[in-house]
Amino acid sequence: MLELPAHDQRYLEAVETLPRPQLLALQQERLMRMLAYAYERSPFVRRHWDSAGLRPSDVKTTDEFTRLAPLMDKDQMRAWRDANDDPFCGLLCTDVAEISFMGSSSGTTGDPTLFSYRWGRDDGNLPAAPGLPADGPSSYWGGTLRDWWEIGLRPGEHAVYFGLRMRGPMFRLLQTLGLTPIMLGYGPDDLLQFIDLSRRYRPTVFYAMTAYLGVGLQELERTMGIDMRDVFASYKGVLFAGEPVGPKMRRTFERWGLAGKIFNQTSFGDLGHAHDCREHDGCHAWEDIGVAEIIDPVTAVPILGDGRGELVCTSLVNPIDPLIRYRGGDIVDMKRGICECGRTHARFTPVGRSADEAVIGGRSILPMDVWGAIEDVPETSGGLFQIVRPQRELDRLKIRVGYAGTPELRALEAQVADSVEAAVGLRPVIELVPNEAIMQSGSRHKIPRTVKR
Amino acid sequence: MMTKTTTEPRAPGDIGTRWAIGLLRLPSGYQPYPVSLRDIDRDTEWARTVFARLGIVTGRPMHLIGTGCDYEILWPYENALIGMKVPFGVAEPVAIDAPRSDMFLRRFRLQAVMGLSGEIVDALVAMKRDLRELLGHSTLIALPDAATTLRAAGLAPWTQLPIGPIFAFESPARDGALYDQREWLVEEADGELLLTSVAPRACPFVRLRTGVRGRVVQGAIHCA
Repeated sequence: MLELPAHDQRYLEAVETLPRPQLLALQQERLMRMLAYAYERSPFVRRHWDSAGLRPSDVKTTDEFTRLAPLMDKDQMRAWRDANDDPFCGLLCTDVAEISFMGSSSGTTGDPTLFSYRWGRDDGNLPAAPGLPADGPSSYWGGTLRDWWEIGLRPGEHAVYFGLRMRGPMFRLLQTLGLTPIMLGYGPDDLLQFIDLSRRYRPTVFYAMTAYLGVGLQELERTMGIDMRDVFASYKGVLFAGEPVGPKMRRTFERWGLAGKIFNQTSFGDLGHAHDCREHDGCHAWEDIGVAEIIDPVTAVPILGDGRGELVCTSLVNPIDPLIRYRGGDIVDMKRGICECGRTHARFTPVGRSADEAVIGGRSILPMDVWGAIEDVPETSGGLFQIVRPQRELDRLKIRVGYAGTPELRALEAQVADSVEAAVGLRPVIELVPNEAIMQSGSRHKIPRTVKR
Repeated sequence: MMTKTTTEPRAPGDIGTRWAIGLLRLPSGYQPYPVSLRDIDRDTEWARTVFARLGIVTGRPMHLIGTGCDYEILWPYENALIGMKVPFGVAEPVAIDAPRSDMFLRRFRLQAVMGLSGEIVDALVAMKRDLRELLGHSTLIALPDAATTLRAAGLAPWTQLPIGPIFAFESPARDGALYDQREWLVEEADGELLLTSVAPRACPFVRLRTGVRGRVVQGAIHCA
């Protein structure tokens, strides 16, 4: 049962500010238990560790774990799945009947992979079952509750919920915190309803904002003269999920009175979610829920301390399908010092995905490097673009860019190329398409930022 | 200091009375409406009877397609499956999510697939899937826009008929769709189905014009 603190308390749970030595001791204790559990029950983990000549009993500390344990990735999971006709990729540690809900990845790099949840009560009103440690968070969703409480969400408030289902019923977490979700979707007039309902109920959070919806709101402001400052007057937070907010769109939301209230929800290495707090200095990686490491994306050598690297995560609480030293391809800047918010857990800022990196003449380019330059051109200010990346090494940078309205295309092409060249020092080839063509190329909450052709 | 518990949502004035605000998408326009936990509990009971009628059994996976924006309608069906210990995989009923449904259909031997939409079925056809091979071993529950294509492929789906904030279900024998008569009354006027709540729901509806064409014969709905 989750008990909520007094409204003026910043933290949901005491573990958020646990002194770091105690936190790391707790993490190590949970890690050792998880390794034994996963090795015993997960065919993938057992085979993977056996292949590396390692057993859980060979690992006594978190430090030994990060030095000795083999990394795993999605390609290996898919290979297991195909070789063994096992939709759970060999990760399932329970009987299938113990699963309640099977979500799945977006499938942008292949057949979607599963992540599964178990419910806490048979009436469906407790969204998460107990995790592996009896004294731990109720599940890997426990971190999301902490993050949303810190943003300032409180019982009795309303929340706008533009939710898709594949990551689980996130609206149940809002209800767990005592908020009433307002269910909206991607219908053609839902944004108009959002405006009306925001004025009527004065919600405090928008979950989840995307480039797709942001472009739609900008268009409503432009064509209907809607006062977005009034619409968002009650909001404590607008949460971007799926991909981070671009620099220009961030400025637009700030102009709408949301400076300091724009939050990023990102994947905590597929263990769950991570969010930035009100200090906006990175997304909190809850170290009592997972182990967060960074490695060199090419050599896979662990990077100690702070710095940039590929995020590697290990679940400590998931009893269903735990990931052990999973590298998901997210490149992050990691910080392990105490956050200004007072929490002691590590935090990271996503900077891109290794699978999205293009190398042109030895120069590394990630989508975030060109994002602002594209948004700076008025006709392409929606920031809807894709780097055409048939392989990592390219002769030239080619970008497909979405535009609004009916501009003169040749002039616009040159304008966008100038802007990108000024930002990254490379002259790109620009292919212009209507915004809709980009928006229809992927899931509505997440535009594929690189495409093969 | 701990001051408030929200996981017992029936407490007076607590979230149970305003479990969610849904949005009806009617031909006449949009209509927001509140839903209480009492409504969800009752709709979950109804969903259990639907699954019993469909022959759904514990422990075997099924696929439940539906939109997150309609969760106040869909959640009771998820709740019922959770209580019955039936694992379910999820996807949205739009073409762009068809690869997700396709994955569930190929990789599991599903006991049932519910919420099949025209967009999903058309997308599966466009992916060159053999509908009989992919779906033939499952109990199928399809929206009206998918049912026709499935029947043409030689399959015998149930029909899942959206009527405002509820679903009614018609067997493959096409003998009329049944709905939860403890909570609702469906009538017909000038060929359009009208919906009235007959139980103390958070948002009472009186002869709501649903925009669905059909007629009611001895309590069962026959769509035009």
